[in-house]
Amino acid sequence: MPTLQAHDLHRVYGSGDSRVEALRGVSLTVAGGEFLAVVGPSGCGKTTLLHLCGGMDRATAGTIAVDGVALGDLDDEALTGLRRERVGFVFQFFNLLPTLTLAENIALPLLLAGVSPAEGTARAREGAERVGLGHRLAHFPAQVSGGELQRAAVARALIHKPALLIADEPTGNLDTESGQRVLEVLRTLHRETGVAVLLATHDALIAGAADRVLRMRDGVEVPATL
Amino acid sequence: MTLFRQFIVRALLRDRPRTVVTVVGLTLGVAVVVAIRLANASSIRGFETALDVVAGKTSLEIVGAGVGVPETQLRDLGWLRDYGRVSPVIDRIARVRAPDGTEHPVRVLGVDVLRDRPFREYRLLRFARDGRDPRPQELLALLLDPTSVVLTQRFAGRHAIELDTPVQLIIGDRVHGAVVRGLLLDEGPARVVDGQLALMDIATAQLLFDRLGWLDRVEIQLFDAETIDDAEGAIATRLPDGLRVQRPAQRGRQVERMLAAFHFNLTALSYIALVVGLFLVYNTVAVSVITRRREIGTLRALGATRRLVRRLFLGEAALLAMVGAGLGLPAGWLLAQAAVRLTSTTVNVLYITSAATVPALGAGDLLLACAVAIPLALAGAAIPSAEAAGVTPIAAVRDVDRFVRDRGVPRRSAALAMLLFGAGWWLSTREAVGGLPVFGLGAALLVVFGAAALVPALLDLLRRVRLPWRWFGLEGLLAHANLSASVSRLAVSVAALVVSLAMLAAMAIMVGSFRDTVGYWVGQTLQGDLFVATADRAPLGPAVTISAATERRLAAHPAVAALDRFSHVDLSYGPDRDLIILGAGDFEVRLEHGGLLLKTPTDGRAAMRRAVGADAVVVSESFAIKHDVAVADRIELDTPQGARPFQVVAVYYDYSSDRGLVVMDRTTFARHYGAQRPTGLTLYLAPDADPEAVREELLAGAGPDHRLFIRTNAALRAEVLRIFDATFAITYALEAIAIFVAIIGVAATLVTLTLERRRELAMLRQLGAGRGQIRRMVVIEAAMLGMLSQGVGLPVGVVLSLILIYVVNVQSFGWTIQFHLPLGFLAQSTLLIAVTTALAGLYPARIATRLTETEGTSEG
Repeated sequence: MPTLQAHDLHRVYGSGDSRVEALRGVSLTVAGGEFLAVVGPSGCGKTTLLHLCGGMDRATAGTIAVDGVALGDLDDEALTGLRRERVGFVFQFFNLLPTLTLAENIALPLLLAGVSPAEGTARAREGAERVGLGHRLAHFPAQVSGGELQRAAVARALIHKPALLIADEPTGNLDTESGQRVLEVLRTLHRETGVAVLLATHDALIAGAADRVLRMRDGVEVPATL
Repeated sequence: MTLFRQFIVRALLRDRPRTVVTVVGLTLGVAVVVAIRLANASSIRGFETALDVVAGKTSLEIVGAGVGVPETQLRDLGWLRDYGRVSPVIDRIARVRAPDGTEHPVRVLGVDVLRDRPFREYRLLRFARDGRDPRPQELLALLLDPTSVVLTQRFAGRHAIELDTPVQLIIGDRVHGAVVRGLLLDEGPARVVDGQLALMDIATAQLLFDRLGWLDRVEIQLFDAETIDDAEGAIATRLPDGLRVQRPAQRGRQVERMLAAFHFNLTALSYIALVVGLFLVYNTVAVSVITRRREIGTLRALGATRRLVRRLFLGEAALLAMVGAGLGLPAGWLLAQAAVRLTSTTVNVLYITSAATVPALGAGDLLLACAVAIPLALAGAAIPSAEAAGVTPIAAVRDVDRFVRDRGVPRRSAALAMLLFGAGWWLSTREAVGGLPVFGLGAALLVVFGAAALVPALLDLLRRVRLPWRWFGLEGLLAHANLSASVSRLAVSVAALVVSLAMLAAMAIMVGSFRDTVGYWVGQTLQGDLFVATADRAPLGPAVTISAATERRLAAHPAVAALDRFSHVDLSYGPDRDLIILGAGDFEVRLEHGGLLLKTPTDGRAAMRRAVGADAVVVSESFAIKHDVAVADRIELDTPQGARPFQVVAVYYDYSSDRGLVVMDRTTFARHYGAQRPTGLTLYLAPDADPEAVREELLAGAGPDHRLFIRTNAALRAEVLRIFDATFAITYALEAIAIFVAIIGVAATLVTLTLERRRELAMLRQLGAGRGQIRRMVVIEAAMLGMLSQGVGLPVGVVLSLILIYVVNVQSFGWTIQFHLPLGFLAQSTLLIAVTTALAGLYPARIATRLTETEGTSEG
């Protein structure tokens, strides 16, 4: 059973004159442990696709299944539970909570899942060390660099051992060196944990690190030659 | 809980200005409510403790109609001894002049020592030194001398009065030399009235207080206290007409009922401060939700449920409320100390002469503070918390549906405002509930909420309208643009300010109108040239009288053309035995010289002339409204001969008491209640006499044994208005607090907006804007908000004042107040609000200029 299976996804925003079709029938499959990169220019629908696949938004039409669970059948509460347990997110702008230390940010998914704070802290320390942030545990987001923030975000996305990692332009807001480092961390952890990765980028170098690449333009998948 | 600490508590600590403002707001709100409750309790308690002391171990008491129990009837009451011990009592107020010349009110108890011994404990210092209580004969020996008086050890200690030394007792206009023959130990009864108690022999008291032949009441200590219900019933059936049996506590209940409207209004007023607190909580949580939308979205994306998000923000409100309640409680106690000074002035002036002390704080008060603050805060946070719960995970990365939803808000808020105003109007037409203006205040509250609901619509209007902001230059233009972009964020803090300003305007109009009305009434009513009174104005309980010698001396002065003698006594009236005031005056003199502002009938003078010597009365407006009485009705009044009918011939305007006055001609009063010495005199002078000179002559002729207060017409008018102003001082104090809180609320919102806009501000600086321009821009924003709030607050205040004047006041006190706009005050307050809000903008302005020094334009 593939970790992610999406079929004929459509997503329409607005209505009438302001109607925008962000996705126009995209299908994809990500097998367990596979790394799929979605590439395409800005506004091609990459982010929308990722949001639908991660259960952050709902499709106008089409079906999505994560770990065999059809997202369309879930109510808000169940969908939230699915995000909490099966999916990890890495955002372009890091999205660490400014009032939480890096360790606390990393432990947040565990805390939301009801794991005790003590155990959460211990596992967060472990996770932070794996991304090279063992010395930044007690720092707040405002006190560390962008690269460090994104590595903390990667650690947070994987701490609860999700089946699927969604990463939307994870290096888009970083300088080249920091971006490289984040990518390395991502690849290492992908290899070690066997998590399925769905990553959006418009950076060919990053896409090159993936097992497979899906190209998009104007809300549809396009062949590699275009 | 961990997430709450990390996500909410730390954010509160980080955003200190807004947190501090909210906590200060809630603290003040809770403090005001607690203070008013404590102050109200203390005024009732002050009376009740005094009652307890005087009541001692009394089970029942026999009272007469207004003037007391005729001593002659005591002989026919011998059968009372079948039920228990019986003791006649005189209970009055006098002043003690201490050796240092200062005067202090005391409650004087005149008792028959031999009979009274079982009723009260007399532990005297003189005997306590020997380790024993005085024997009855010893007490008798102490008190039988007409110059003897027993004070309390506490009172004597405070005023350096020694045992066996002379003091002067001032009773009415008489100065009586006495010797302190005993000091009650500082325990039990002597302690609870703060020591302001004096004991003397009953015969001496009757003489000194002009009560020869009369008793204030007869107390009964039942042999078997268990049989009180039976005994009360049996005694009631055997008493002759004109006498009544009651329990001492009943007097307390009468006073409580009497004060109910006053306390109810004060309590309602205290909740205004809380309403402002409610807005502040809404504001804090709403701003928190708006500014942390992306964080909430992240939480949701990571798997936080809607319920969890809602709980986090409700928890924020509850935490703020708990801190506010914790701080508000001691603050309220301190405020109560000040409030008691103010309200006890009011209460004393209006009702009681007694020592009021603030009760200590108890667990009940903590519960009250929490019970008031926490639900209120949760209610305030309900809407923004629901909004937080509605944030989608997408908000973590995109500012979706943020302003789209605001588009319909102004229209909906305007519709809601109209609905609330309509409901308020409907409520204002409802009748009072049990003498309390429940619906009237409900109407006022709906208007307040309606005004708040109107704010988003008005801000939206401000956004659309191209007013000449250019007058303030580029800064004004930018300020207008900034405010226009932040309508939804500003709405709540502006609404809080609107509410406070509307309340201030309403209160100012109401008090101003009331003051004008009272001024006019005083002008019409006080036609005499000189007014003679004794020192103690004790409107509740027996009044002290002016002696015959003084009256003769004053009447004999060649400049005195006429003299109006006025007496008043308390009388129980109606099925609820409400305490009303029964007055007696010389109608003939008043018809010839004086004035009385009559409401009905139009030809009041003819009506009064018919009432001279007849069983007819004129009643005050508040009596007519409270007891539903009109001209030509017959009312039944208790007299020493039993209930008697009197015809109402006129209703007159009166603002001296909300208890209701019934006034009859002096000859009628004497016929029913016996000849009573007057409690006040009004002198009408010959046309060419100089009132000030006559006053000096009359005072000079008083001699050392007499002391009088003679006021000229102008001085009495000034005194009436002084008392009036003292009464409303607390009203203004409460208003000031509410406005203070609201203004800092606006400042806090501006701080938040400034912090959010820091990149734009930095960009402005890069484009060449000077620090001064940035500062001016923020200050202009603040002043604009202040002016807009005042612009809405004033008309809403006028509507509120109409409700206060024509509904709440009439239902509470039964007074007609002529509506009058105090334009000067309103203009001044408008100017003051403009300046104050501009000043409140200085702090966010400083933050803005400081931020632009450090902030770049790159994404942080």
